[in-house]
Amino acid sequence: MKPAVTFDIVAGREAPLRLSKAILLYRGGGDAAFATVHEIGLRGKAPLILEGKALTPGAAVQLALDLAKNAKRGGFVPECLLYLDGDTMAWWVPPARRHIAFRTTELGAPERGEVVPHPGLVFKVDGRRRWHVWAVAGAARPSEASPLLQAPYFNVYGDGGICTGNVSLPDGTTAERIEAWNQAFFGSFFTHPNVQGKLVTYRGGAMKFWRDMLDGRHAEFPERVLVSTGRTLADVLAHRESSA
Amino acid sequence: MNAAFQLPALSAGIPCEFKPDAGQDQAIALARCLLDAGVIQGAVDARRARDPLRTSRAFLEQWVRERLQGLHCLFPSFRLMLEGASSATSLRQREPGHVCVVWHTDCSAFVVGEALERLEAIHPKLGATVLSVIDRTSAKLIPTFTPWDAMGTAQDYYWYGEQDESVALEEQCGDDPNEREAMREQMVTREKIDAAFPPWATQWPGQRKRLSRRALQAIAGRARSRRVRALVSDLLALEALDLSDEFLPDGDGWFVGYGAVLTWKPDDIAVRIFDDFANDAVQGDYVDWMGEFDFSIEEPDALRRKLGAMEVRFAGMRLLDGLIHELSSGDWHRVPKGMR
Repeated sequence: MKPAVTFDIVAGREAPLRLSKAILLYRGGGDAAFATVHEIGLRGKAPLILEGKALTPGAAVQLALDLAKNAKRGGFVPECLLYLDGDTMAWWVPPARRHIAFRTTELGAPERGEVVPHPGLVFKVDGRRRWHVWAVAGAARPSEASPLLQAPYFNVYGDGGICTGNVSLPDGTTAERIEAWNQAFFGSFFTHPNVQGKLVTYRGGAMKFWRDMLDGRHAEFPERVLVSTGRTLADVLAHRESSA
Repeated sequence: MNAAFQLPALSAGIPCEFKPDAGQDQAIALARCLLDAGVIQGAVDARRARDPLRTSRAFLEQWVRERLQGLHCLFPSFRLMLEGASSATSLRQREPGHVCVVWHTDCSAFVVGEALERLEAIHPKLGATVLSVIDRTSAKLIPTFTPWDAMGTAQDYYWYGEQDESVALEEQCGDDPNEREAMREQMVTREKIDAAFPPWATQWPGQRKRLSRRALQAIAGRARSRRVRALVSDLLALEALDLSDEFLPDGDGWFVGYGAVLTWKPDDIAVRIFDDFANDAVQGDYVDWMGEFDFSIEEPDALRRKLGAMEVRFAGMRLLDGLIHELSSGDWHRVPKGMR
């Protein structure tokens, strides 16, 4: 048969994951532990655990790194990076004028975007791509004691969680991906408020606030409108699994 | 069987395979990018759309096949490497969010000596001109190992950069005449290369005497042989292509990504030189693909521009494929001389 021109795609993490090994974990008193790693066989379509061998500490560390692909062992730390633990990362975006776009008729047009002043922001994302944002007052790099304020944006929940909808999220939670995450946030359309309470303290509410912002009524971001969350940066990072 | 000796089976609810959610965003983003860039066209049925990678692959293959229809002997294979894909090649690191497309082809030998010598006989310097155009253009299309490459590789690879084997023999055999003779017998020598090709074939293409474009146009219009007229027309078209360096492979190591080895006679010394060199090269870092580009899956316009720039490559690949096929097939002795 005559050969043909072909086009293949070599997948990375999109490729299917196949069951390849099993680890049996033995626990004793105190911190005593022993683990064995086993090949997987098949009887028909049913997977079987075949005989194994001891899981060495080196193999366990390698496995941990494979499971946390985004966790980097080291590298230069940018000034905006506030916190890094495994695949969880938090960073600061200083106050600045940036473009923001809305897709809601309540702001005067089906789609509307302007360059407007923004407050300082803290973002947090983890390996499961749970993504949060809060505002912080002032232009100084926040510390762990810095109070967090509700980010004044649509599509952000009361706990800081970002409703991503159909936004294409960046891959990876390493320092060099910070700009990609920033672009994903500021490059998406904001459509509707997600908080149950007040998004901002502003006469006329959140819609009026953003209409005024888009109309250029505020040369600088009016920090007085920001709503307190009652939490500090340390609060949301120290309890990162249980809370935010 | 004693139940105690049975291997433990996992619950039937545990799957042997699953698709991770984490990477699907990239697969979807790729499909979206291909859709916006115009590669994916028309309706995609819902069942296909559930597998964005397979859909992307099918449309990419259709896209490239439409552009490389009717090839005879050189069949490139394209590969899109998604971010994080493990690569067996020495591809350079890409920017985050970028994917890379590379292409390569299996390498085959084509006997072109009879055709090129007949072309020389039909019109002096016509064979040399055909070879020069292949030498000048093929690196940007389907890299072709020509007699000039055979000579250059012999100099670099066997002869320590010299014009012949004298220094290599001295280095390896010293003053022992018997050992020298035995080694000369076995190795690729200048004499063997000179015997395998006419002098103009191994000459640097920049020095090789060739026909002007006007002379080629005259042959394309008035040669008695229809076959010669068609071949020279294709040659003119190939030479006229505006081929930039944009898609050249960029990797570390020896380049071995040739798609064709041109020999003068079947299994002549060019094959041995290429095989020796390629086998040695792949022991270290090597580049075995012939072209590449990358793009951000968030920038479909950039991809559209790259694909647009590839069109001239595809035209060149078709012409080069046709030229090598024509030179290596049929009976050239019967092709008549003269003009109409």
